[in-house]
Amino acid sequence: MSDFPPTQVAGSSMEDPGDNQPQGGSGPLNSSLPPSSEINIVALVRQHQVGLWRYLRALGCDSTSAEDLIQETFLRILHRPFEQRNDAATGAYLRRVAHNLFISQRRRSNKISLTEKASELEESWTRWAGFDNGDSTIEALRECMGRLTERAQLALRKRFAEEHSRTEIGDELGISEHGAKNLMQRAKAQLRECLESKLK
Amino acid sequence: MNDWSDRILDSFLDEIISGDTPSDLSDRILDQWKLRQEQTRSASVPIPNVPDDEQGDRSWWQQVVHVPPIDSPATRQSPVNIAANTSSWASKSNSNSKRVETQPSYSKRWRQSLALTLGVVACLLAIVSLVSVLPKFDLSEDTVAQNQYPNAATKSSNQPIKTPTAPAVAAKENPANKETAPLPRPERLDINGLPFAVVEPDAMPTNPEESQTPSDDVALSDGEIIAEINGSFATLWEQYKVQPTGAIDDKEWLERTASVLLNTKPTSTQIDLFKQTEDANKRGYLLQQATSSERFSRFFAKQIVSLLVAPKQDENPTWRADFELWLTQNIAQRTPYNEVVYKLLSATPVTPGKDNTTTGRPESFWLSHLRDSQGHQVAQRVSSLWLNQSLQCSQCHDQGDSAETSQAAYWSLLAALNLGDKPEYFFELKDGTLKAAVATLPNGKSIDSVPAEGRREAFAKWLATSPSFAEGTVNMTWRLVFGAPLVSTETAVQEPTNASRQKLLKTLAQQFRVHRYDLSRLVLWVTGSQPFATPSRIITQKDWLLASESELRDIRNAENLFANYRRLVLLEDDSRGALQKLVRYEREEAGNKLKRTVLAQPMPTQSLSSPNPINLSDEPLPAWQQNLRLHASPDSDATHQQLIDRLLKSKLTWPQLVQHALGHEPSSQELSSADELLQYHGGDKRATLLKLHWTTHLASSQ
Repeated sequence: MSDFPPTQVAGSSMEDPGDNQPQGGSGPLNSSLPPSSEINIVALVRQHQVGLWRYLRALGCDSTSAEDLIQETFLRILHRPFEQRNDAATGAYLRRVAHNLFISQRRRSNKISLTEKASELEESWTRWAGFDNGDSTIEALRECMGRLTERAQLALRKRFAEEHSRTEIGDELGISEHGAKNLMQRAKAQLRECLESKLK
Repeated sequence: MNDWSDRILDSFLDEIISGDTPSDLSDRILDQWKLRQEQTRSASVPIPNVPDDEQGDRSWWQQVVHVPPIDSPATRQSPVNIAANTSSWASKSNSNSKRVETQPSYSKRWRQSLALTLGVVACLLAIVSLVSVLPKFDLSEDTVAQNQYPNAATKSSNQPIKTPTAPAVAAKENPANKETAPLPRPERLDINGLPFAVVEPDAMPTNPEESQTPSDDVALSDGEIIAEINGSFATLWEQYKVQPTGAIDDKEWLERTASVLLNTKPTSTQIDLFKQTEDANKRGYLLQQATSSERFSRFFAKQIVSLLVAPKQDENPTWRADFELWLTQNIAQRTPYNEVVYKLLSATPVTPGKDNTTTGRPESFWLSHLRDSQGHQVAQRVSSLWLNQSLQCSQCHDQGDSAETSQAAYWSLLAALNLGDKPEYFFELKDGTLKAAVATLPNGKSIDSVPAEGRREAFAKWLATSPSFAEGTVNMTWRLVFGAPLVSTETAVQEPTNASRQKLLKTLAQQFRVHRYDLSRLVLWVTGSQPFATPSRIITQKDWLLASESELRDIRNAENLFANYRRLVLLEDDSRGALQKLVRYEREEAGNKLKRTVLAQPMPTQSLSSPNPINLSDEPLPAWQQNLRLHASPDSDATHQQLIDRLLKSKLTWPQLVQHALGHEPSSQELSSADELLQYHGGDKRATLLKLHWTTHLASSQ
């Protein structure tokens, strides 16, 4: 909500948490917050890295660039320490930073990215993975996969693990490209249905 | 299912099928961090040796309460102290805000040295100022205050502190904080820029009166705020010479906390574990964790949604579920509550279609479902929940002499909300004159010149920063925890403890504003207080129904002096259901399964026939009690009794009398119940009508 009246706080800061931040301990870091070294880096990283990795993968990062962005995210956070109110708030903050870094990276490389519906992304993420980094969803999805037909499983495996095209998958299963597309769409719809019933 | 859900699930699917899993980056990040630290920082600042606290003393928490376990070692901070010893709370500022610290001793030393330095600087400046009486006195003191309390006052950084002595006043008001007064307050989380608190500079309130920060806006710590609550009630007890019989044990406290905060009941194993935990701060720690849990967010969101909009038979359940989820997320992420309410009020109502399973706008649910021909339902909820007023009656007539509760004020509110089908609102005065309502904010400022479509948003903007909003929210929270508001919004109710409660309400509301309208934190304060840990006295509904008038007064007095805790049954019932249940007790006479729990101690009175847990005094009733008897419970004496007397003098038939006593047209079953009650009271219409009226009044005020 862009036109919401601001709440009054000390040391109001309008900076974007992920970008345009002064580097190297300037700004509020040295004035009011304790030294960054007090933060339990290892604990913070281990708690949130999986969720961040999955979040960035959902944004479209490959595994390697996701790891790079995670590293940069935590380093940004360490440069500008914050209080942890709860895991959900911390996770949301980290995702915001990672998201901004992701956009900056895309802009630098002149790649177009989906940014206009960022609030919907956060809502969707909270729905599917908001409270446990997505572990329970992954586990449920794994179980739901086992309920699919052999053909559907094979098609999805070819698509995701071996990155085959629809035409290739159709050829291997003896169906048309359109048939392969339908098969995978039906399989994903079944997975969603199963997932929603499990996570209800 | 939107695009993002598809993308998220696709990426999860990819992870499962391709086996591409995230690796542990902690070492890599740590190395990078150390490298950059070396480049940017002086070598004299050591990198802390992070202790590997695998279990700590948190294991009990995960088993004691049914909430998702929190495995983050980052949350293993020192537990907070609890209300039993308020001074220990007071010594820990902002205990609810978890900041990760791995070297407490280092941190402590760091803060102590900083405090010492600041203290010396403050003393020097104060001496210089006093001796020289320089015109720069205010400036120097401001500087000291800002240095000592860098984040204590919630002011924008470019706004000078208007009351330099405010921190000193706060310290004085909280004797328990004396020892820690020279220490700088730990900084609060600056959540500007976080994804859940997007703030735009252009959105500053246009009314300078509203943007002005009160001079006493000093952020107290959680412990200090809890001490305020305890102190307020302790003063009342001292004033009326009553004392609680003691404090509840761990079992009852855990059950109460689990019920109120998490809507669950702990198992015997969990209770045993909790009892066995030898940690003086375990209650505070549990409260802290509970109010940060997902389950708490869900439960409170559900309750708030129920207050906002009652379920309808023909409503869209998916939309309601989406609305609850939206509110849950906002509570979990600690979105400032005024921002949430702003979104609710400024949303665009949507007319749900037949197949409209979801609109994609969960925040529109409230307005869309309450929208009637003129917006009366919305206005009544806005007034009771956020303006801390009960304006229902003002729709038809003035309430008392206050302009705030006049008929014109109600219709001005309605016009400001602008939810009706017509742009103009007219209301009928007593003499039959038709008058046009002027869209006005509750502070008297007219917004009639604002285009009709923008008035509600203007109202929402004003409301979000108004003190009455904070007071209304505190009252609502108190009601969700204790079953009744801290201060009754009924204008007729003027019981003798009101002044003290009103003062406490204002203090809590101010702190709620200062702490950025953090609902979870507000609940923490209320549940961390001594009234919450006061032993209960069970009063069955049968007791209530059979009580004499004087006994009822005693019960009500006890409720006023202590906090109420009557969440059972009536919370989910309407007044009709409550009445039927009460009357059923008349018939059954036994099996009192439904109990009304009152978190209150009995008054030292001889009128109660039931055994009293405290010793009865043989002395004659003290003056204060006589006085209390005269003035207490005016809603039964002054208002309700007068109403019943007036009714009895009229020529109304018995069903009509019952209708007026109940406040609604009675069903045939209710009439039958009223007849039974009349029979029980030996044909005493006055007693019967009074009881009917009290019963429905009690139920509707739950």
